[in-house]
Amino acid sequence: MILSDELMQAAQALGQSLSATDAVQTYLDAQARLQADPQAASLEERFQKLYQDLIARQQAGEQLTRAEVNEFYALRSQAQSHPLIAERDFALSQVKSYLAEVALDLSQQSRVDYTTLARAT
Amino acid sequence: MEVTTMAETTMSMHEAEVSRAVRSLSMVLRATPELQAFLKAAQAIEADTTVQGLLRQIHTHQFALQWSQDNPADHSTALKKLRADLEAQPSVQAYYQAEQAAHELLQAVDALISTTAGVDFAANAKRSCCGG
Repeated sequence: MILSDELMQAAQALGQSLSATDAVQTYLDAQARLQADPQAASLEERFQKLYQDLIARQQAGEQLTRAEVNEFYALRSQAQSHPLIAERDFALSQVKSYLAEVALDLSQQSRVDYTTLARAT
Repeated sequence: MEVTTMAETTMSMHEAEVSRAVRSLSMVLRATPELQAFLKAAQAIEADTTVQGLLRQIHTHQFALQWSQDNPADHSTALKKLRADLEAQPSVQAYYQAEQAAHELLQAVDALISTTAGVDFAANAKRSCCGG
């Protein structure tokens, strides 16, 4: 899809103004701190990998064992209690809330459901 | 006396900038052929009495199935036929085409916003059922 210059400039202007907000900056800073910490980054990676693997197997109709489910809950608990991951998750929840408000404003002013149309598959 | 801190002033300046950017982008989006065609197709569906009649019948059968009224198999068969009739309506087909074009446009716009902002915009802006 080729966008007109006017549309590209307007989209980039919104992206730039979003990046300057406190909510987005706090989230990006928290994410960078997490990535810079080898222990936190490794824990996050292991948790995401296990989560994706279990979801894929469950969606393929496979029955997960009790031990696998327990392993998932244990790793999730470990990840959620890590200060850097908890900080990032809190910042993410804040940025999601702010972006939802901005998207709602964009939907109302453009007269289409922006979030649904931009994500629909 | 109300005191405004420098941090609050800076934050509100950034948010005011976002509001301005949303207004500008909305104006440009509304003028695109893709969104104009999509809104026109949605209006055409609203005005199409055949489509509205089919939708009403679909809702009636869905309600009957939901509340286990009469024979569920009869309602399922009727629903299947009604949905096929609905899909075959020219205004519905035109709507799907326009929706796809609007989707492709907004996906491209969203990719640009997300890359520039450093965070996925639409993906993170979707409200979940549980407020997340």
